[in-house]
Amino acid sequence: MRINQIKKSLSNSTFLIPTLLFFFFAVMYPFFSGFNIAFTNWDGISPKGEFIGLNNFINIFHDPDIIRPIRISVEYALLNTFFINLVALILALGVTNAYRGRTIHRMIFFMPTALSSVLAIFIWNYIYGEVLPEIFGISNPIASMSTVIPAATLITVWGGCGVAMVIYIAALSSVPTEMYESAKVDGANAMHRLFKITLPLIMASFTINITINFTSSLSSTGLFLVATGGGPAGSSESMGLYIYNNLFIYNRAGYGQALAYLFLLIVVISGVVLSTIFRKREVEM
Amino acid sequence: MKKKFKLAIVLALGMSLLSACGSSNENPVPEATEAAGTTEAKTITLRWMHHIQEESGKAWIEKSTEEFTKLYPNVEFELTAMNADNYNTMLKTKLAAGDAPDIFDIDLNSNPQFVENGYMAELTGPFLDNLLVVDKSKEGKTYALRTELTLYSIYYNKDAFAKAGIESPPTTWAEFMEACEKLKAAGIIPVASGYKDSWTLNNMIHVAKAPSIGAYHESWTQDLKSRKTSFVDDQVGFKDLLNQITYIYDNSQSDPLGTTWDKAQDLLVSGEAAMIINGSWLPGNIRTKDADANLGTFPYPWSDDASKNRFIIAGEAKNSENASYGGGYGAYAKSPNKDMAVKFIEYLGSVENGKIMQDNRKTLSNAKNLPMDFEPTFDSFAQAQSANEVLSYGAFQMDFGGEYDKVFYDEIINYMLSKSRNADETLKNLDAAFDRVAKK
Repeated sequence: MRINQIKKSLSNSTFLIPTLLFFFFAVMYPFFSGFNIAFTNWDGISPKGEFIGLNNFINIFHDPDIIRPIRISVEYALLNTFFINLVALILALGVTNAYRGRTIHRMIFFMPTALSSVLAIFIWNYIYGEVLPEIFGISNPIASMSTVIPAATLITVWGGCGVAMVIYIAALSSVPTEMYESAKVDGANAMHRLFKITLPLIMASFTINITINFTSSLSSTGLFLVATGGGPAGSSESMGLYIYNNLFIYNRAGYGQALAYLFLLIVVISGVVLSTIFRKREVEM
Repeated sequence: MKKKFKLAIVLALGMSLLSACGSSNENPVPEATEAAGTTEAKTITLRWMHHIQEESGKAWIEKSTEEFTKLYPNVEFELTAMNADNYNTMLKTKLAAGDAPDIFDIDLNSNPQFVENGYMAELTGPFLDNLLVVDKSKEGKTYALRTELTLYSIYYNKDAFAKAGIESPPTTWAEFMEACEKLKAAGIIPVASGYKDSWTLNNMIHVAKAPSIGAYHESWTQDLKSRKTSFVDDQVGFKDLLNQITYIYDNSQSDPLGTTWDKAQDLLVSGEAAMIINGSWLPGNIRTKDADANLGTFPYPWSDDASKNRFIIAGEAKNSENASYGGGYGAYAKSPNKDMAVKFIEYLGSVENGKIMQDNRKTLSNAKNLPMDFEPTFDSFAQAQSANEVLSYGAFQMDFGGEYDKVFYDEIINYMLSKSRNADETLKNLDAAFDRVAKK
């Protein structure tokens, strides 16, 4: 019995090998091969920097410019996570039941996910920069400090809710239909069924979606780099972009590297905390 | 059965991963790194990274490389074009990764590390005598070649001015404001601004700074960074400039920060807008949109004393203490093809190439003794030059570099977008920000 279980888990985990290998070579190795840089004052151009111990890490706590990027990243992560999951859940509820045209609807909703994020940004830059001003007389929301974060969020909600939707669809399809039937017999209306049966039973997919969306949007860099460049006037300089700027623009690669490690720690902790909170609410079927 | 299926998938995935690794190794290795020492002339591949996007500039690059290949048939070029906003970052990354191009252009004043780390090949030889402006460091060394002399001025659509009843370009700030009012009355946007491409905002400010601050305070940029002077203790008239910059912003089409450089040029070409405040690469860009555009240029009229408002171009350091590395095209000192790359830089400084530059890129060459009739837009400048009325800003540095630039432009954008427009507060904020960066 035991041996069978071990065999089973072994054969299951072989599926992870390609991903793990890729993760190791493309993420872990480059990330930690630069570990020593975090303890130097390397400027990013010179052949090497001087060893300065923990100074970079200490300086992080005396850096007044760091507060805004943190605020921007948290604001974006909250907005993005909330709207991706809200939209994805609504779409998933809409396309889970069998009806004519379900497949085509699923495909349409998933399509933006298949686009590369840079391409998505170009499409939205065109919408924001050309379509909105020319046709609707609305000025480019990317160019205003008050609307740049919501405008950037819209791009990622559009491009990111497809994956979350698929996870929700999978969870929704696994909810036994007898439960709904017996609830109906007991006189539960649609709202009751949604909040008392559906949502508790798909809690596991909330854990996955919210944790993944929150941590990935907290560390989001490319979106701001490509779509806004951190502007206007730094109002969309996310934490990821702040690290990038230190590494490549401000000639403080050592500091940027130290910041990257500390920030990684924060992202990991927030991911663990979130998934623990949601795990507790999961219902065993 | 199931297990076998799983195993097959795992193997297939593994194989695809391995093959992906394999193919990435097959990327073309630059021939330049091949072992030297073969007797026959082996092919040399010069890798040139640039940030020239417009067709006129690309034509210059194409002709230059073609002509150079005629002189040295064993030379090939590998060109990489970058977006101007990411160019410096990419270049630094490539240098740090040991993948530097052989030829690139860089502002060494805001990136002195390029010289300090020995990445730039020194440029010497008689070809430097054929140039109008040669940047020399305090030690008298040259590391970058200016191929062109940027004329920071206001470019205008003559037809739009005529339509608004403006007979001659404004010569004072008061006249400039008057012209803007006339243009607006005629339904024409006074200034086209494409600040979505952030470098264009920087250049608009360069245009304003060059004749007003640059001509008289060569070391202003460095003094601010070293905190020898401050924005609040404004001895150069920066506060007035701030108001002028904001006036220009207010007299642009709606949403300047949301408009691209390309769109701004379209507004000028079509006559919907009358002026663009930018550098002398503009006419070349415009010619690719409209070969017959009726353009002119006039000096930025920062002063109300017309005699002070002159055309201004870069020059050699007025005070030897301000001598600096300058900027322009350089060769990577650690490249195996350094000698050939330097030869190419020398070629770029030749009169022949200056002619190619003028004819294709329609911009002012740094080579001496070239005729000035290649582009009607510059007629007014040519006249001023022959009348000896052109000023030089010497070694005045346009950019602060690194995080200084970021905080500088962020504060200016904050000021332009703010409702209260409190200039004194902006000056204080600028000082606070510069203090903060200086301490880092």
